[in-house]
Amino acid sequence: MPRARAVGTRLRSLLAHVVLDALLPLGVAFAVVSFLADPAHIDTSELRANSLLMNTSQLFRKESNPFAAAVGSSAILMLTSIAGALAIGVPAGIAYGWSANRALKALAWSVSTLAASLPAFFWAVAIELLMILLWVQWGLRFLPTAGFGLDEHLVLPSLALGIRPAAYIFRLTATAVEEIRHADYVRTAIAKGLGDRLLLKRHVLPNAAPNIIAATVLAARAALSSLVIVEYVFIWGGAGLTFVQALGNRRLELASELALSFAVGSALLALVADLVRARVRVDS
Amino acid sequence: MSGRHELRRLLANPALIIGLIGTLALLGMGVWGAVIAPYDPNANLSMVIKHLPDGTISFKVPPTFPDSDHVFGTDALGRDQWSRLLTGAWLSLSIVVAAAVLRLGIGFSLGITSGWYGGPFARLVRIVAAGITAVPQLLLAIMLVLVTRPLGVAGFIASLALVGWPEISEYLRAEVLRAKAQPFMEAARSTGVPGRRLITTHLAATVGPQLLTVAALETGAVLLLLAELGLVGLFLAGATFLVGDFGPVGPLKGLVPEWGQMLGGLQFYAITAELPTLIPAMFVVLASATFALLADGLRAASDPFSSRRVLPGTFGVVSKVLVGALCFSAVGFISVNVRPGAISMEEGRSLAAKTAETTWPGSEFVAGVARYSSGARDDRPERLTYYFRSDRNEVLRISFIKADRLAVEVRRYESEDEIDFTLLKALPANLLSYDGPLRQAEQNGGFVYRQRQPNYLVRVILTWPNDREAPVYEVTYNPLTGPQGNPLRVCCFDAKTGEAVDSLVAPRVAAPWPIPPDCTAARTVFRQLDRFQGYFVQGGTLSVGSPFNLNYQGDNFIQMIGGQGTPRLEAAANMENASARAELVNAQPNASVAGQSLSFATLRLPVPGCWKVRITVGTAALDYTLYAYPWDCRPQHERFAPVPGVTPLPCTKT
Repeated sequence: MPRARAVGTRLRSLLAHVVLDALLPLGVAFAVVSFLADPAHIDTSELRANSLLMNTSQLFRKESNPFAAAVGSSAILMLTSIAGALAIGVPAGIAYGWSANRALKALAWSVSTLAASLPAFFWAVAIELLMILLWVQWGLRFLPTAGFGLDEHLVLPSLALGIRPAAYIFRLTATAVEEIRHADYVRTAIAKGLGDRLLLKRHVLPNAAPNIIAATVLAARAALSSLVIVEYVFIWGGAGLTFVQALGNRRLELASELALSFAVGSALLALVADLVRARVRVDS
Repeated sequence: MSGRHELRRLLANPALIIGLIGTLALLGMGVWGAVIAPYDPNANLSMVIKHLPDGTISFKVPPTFPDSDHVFGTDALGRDQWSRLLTGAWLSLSIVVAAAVLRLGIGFSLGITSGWYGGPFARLVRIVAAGITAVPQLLLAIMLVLVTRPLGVAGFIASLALVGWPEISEYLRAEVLRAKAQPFMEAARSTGVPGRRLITTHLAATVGPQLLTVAALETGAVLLLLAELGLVGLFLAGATFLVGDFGPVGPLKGLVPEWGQMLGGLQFYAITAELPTLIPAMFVVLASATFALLADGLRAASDPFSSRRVLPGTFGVVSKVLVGALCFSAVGFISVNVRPGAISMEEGRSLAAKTAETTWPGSEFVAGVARYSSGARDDRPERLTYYFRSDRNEVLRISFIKADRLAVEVRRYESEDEIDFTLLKALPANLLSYDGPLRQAEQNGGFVYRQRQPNYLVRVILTWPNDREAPVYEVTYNPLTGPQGNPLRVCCFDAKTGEAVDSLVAPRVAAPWPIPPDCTAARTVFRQLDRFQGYFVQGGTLSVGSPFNLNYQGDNFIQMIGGQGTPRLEAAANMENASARAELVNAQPNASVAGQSLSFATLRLPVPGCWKVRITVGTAALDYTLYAYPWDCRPQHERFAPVPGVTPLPCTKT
């Protein structure tokens, strides 16, 4: 009976979370977007006149279902960049926490500070600049700076989008690992002669996991908010770019659907972040 | 702790030092940017082909790379990037600061009230905030800008401010909740301090230092959002490229440079690998990084648990420096850049008349000149000059530099506008200003002239010649350097009514001899219809003109405005030779050009002299007199092959 009551309380709190942190904000976002995207209020001629991308239609893909194509492309870009950020951030964070080389650690921390504090806009422009410099100075043109494709086209946008998440994940992983490393049970395990590999597998990673997940969710939210500009800079035909094009071409339903898909993604991430936070609190 | 100790603490905080210096430099750029800009930010400076002094030719197509002349290169239209960055700073920075202040206002008030009072209001604020943060800032800002476009600058600022406040209010709410639980708050409350005082003294003291940090952070964020909007193609200054099949081709809608606008079309150049267009982007990012550094430094300096913390007094000095610099730059900006508007001809006249009355009593105002030249940075006259003539026929020149009422220059016995002052009547007061005639002259060939002639001098001259019934304006266009190009003179506009009056354009080619007085040839008016321009005789329903201001024996190409149908020559009589028969050949029926009916024909005059002609197009008709010079008087470049029935005659007056 008490167990059932506990489950009931849990369910109720989950429901409250869903309503307060996801459904009601989504309603607000829906109201705001539908007010703004109302043809009676919005005048998109300026966008059409000013944006060079409105006139370069050959760069864009012709799709029968532009909404699905755009959201799919965005999801691919997001997944690639977050996966890349995890692949770099987690091992680097563990290495940081495990290492005793102070100079190297200081350097890594400064680099991560730089990466985390500069916006995706900066990275996108800087990467583009680098590519152009390589091309102009040495005639090297090995990665495309614009366009959609599940090949080398994916590299630069995911890099620009993933640098900040990687820095977030690195920093949170590093602090977690460093903390755990100095915990008593780890010291005991070391004293007992447990090898590094086993120590990592048995003690460090399981305990750092909630923090890494929380960092990933945080990183994903950051990436989602800078997705639009990265897509626009690299002309990646995802939801952000298609949104601007849809507005410029007065396809307001498509534009508001895309804006709301961002809101849904963001609300889901917020929910996950809440749950993760609750879980971290309970477990620790 | 001693002062030296404090200084060491400050210097140990490089983020704060760099951020402070950078912010002050940015503010200085906003104030003096337009003054120190090395080039005109709107002038096309990079020529495609440049002849170097050693005889070689350099070939450059804008956008050009940075070189010794242009430190940051030129943009796609050949404009100096560094000058544009400097000149645009004030507009971009004022928008950014205004939007950041507005955003802070919203975020702070909502954050503090919801944190302090809590309850359903706080819950509502949280939900709205979560809803707004759910949509990415840029998406929301794009829609907001497009919706608030009719409001102009205010709308733009509001769009930048209405997104991004939820983060501030959430942060503030958390801070207030934390402060509320502090022992000193409880102590104050227990001693009976009323709620309002708690907020204004205790809470403000706790949260206050954060204000500056958040402000710096938000300024950087707003600047970045401005840049992102510019990249998407939404910017305030309203200038843009027109895109042709092979890339951007001019012209521009507006001329005010602005950082966001400089970023418009950036990816286009990224595809074509044009480095210089990325420079404004790097500049904006550096500027926003400066604000972020400042925020970081301020946070460290105000955080009581940081090793780089400073005493509250020192922090107060730093914040006073920042706020003071902001106020100072606002005032400085106004005094440096916001000059009073350009004065009109009449305002200048009444000011100059006072000076003239004290310098040369009894002198009379005879000529006013508004002078423009290609070197000017804005649309104000370069100088506004008033000539006063004394009774001994000497002139006094009073000039207002940049048409600024405060910049007066008085010179005796000096004219700089080649006007013969002896043939002029004194001008009355309350005449029209120079901008109307200038606008009309621009439409009547002046604009085309300036496009062809990059270095020009334009003068709008107000005089009252003895042989006229009313004072008139004329507009002259002169090449400023080099021998190329003829001057253009657009004449005249009535200075009381503003209407174009007779003989609008002075001879393009000087007449071999004046038209005899017994042949009262109708005076012509210069008009332009789309690409067709000519010297027209204005009639009620029909105007007849020719591309040349003089008529010659032989074929004269004519254009007719008005009427429906094919042009016909109803009658043509030569005053000296009654047997001469003129004819109209190659008559083309009317077509609609720029909303008006325009038809063409060739008027063939077998003999020179005075002709009376009646031309009709459908029901519209015009009678006029014209004087034809002999065949050989026609300038070489306007000559046609001899036509049947016309015997070429030497250029002598009969």
